[in-house]
Amino acid sequence: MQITDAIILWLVGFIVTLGFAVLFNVPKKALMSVSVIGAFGLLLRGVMKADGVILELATLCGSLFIGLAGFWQARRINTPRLVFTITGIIAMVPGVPAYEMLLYFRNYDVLQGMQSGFKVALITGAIAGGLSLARALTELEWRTVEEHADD
Amino acid sequence: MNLYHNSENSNMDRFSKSFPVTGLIDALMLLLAWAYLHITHSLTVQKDAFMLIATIISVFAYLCLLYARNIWSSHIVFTIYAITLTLRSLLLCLPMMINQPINIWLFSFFIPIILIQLIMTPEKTKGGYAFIAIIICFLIFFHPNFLTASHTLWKPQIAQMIYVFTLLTQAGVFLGAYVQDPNPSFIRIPSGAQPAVTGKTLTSGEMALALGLTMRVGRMMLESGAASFRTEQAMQRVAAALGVGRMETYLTPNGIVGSAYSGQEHRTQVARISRLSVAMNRVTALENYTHHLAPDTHPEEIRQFLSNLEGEGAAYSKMVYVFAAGTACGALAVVLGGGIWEIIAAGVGAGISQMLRIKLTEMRMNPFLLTTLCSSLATAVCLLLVVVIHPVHPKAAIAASVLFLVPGVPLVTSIVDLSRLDILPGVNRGMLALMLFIGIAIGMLVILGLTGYNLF
Repeated sequence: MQITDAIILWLVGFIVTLGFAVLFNVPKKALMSVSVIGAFGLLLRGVMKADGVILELATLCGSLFIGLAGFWQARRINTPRLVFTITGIIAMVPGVPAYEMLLYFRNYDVLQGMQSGFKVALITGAIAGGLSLARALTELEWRTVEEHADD
Repeated sequence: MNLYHNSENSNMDRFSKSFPVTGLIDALMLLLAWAYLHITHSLTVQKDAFMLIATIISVFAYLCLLYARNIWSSHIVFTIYAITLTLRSLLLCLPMMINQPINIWLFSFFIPIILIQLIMTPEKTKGGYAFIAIIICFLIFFHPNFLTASHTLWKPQIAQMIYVFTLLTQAGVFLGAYVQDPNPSFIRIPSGAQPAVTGKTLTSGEMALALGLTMRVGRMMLESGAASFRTEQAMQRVAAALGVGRMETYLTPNGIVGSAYSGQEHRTQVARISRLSVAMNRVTALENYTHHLAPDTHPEEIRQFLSNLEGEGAAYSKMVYVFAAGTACGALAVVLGGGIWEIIAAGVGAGISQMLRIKLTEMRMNPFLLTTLCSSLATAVCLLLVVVIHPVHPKAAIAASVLFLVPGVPLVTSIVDLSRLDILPGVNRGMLALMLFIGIAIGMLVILGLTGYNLF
């Protein structure tokens, strides 16, 4: 990966995250940090992928980064963490494979469709795994399943 | 008022207490890593030396601080410890900075590690440490070797090994703090009003009012796209502030069942949820408000707040939403391999479609129908532009133009819910996401089928 590719990828991540942050009604004070965090997460994933790391692991690391950075910013700006995490990972969500799967199925190309479907499942799982890992590292209540009060 | 504020002194005391274990694990891990790499002759002489120095620094700092922690103040001890960690990271990075290629694995992982360390660091020393960390990140990121790294000097498996060791070290630091102290300073303790212990019992009417407000908070949060556990916690806080003895909730994305108990009385309500949107500003407002609720808040006050919040319009003006959807989809076209014309085609298609989406949302149209219609319009406009301007990669433009409709929030929230054992909401949201994807695909297929354009 060349440095220009990296800069373009960062800018793409920034613009995509900013755009979706606006669509998700993110408060104005959090807009900039959300976009920067999302951009660096996408860049981390892109750089690792370019170096030959499998996409799912790269995605996990990217979303782990977003989860941790989101935690830090959430404490700084005093905003719930989901504003940073759910919006930050949006540039990594596998949108094209998801509807591609259905288009392939429509063309009776079941094999390709299944491939796209598993891609979606694995990448989404990796994103959620990274976010959950970041939470488990930083929040007490996420280490255990809540005990339901019974009487 | 800071929601996540921890007392500075107790922070430092905790650090002082947990230091012996964390420091020992930290130093031992690095020693182990160095010993392994040294015995297997995996390193060049220079890297061996760097790593040895890093190890010695870690061990030495640990021993010094173990001796000094009773003499010096905790602040100084912590600062020295933080500087040691930084110095060590720097030493491990140094081979790259003196113009030698190195595997990228290691450095990709330094950023999360530095962040973990940042989170652990108490407020007072955070500024300086953050500055050092940012400089290191900067040096790593903009170093010419960073993006053209070769694997010649550090075999990939060795770099992976070091990465695993480094990560384990950091895990050890966490674990050490956790073993010593069940509530370490870097872990946020849930705040907000605790369940009422006043022994006050509510009358039947009061309970109905309290339960109604609690359900309203839950409904508003779910309508704004919050995950189940977050909504449940907010409802618990509201119920506690209103004096309800015990609150049991069962949430699904389209309905809430809640029971309030107080003394001998109990009441149950069911709320139905039909609207599905993502409104982070509303979630933020509700979260902050419920975190700061004082015990025994008057119900009228909460009702007033909720009414005000419901009365608030969208956070941005309509043109901003249109522009946001356009630019986001344009940028995504770049990822798919497009150039400037693809950006324009995808952006215009998405922008015009977003206008329709705003109109249809105001009309409260069924979300699946809405997604299908918007996807059709985006594809149609984009296809028209593609036919007119003939870009190099027309597929990138068409594929990107519908991406603003992708239900990313339900998709990820679904897995988050499932991982919390909220099976029903998780499955619900997953199916919702799938249905919306089917809507997008149908919308595209209609246009592609009508025009005979083949996307594959």
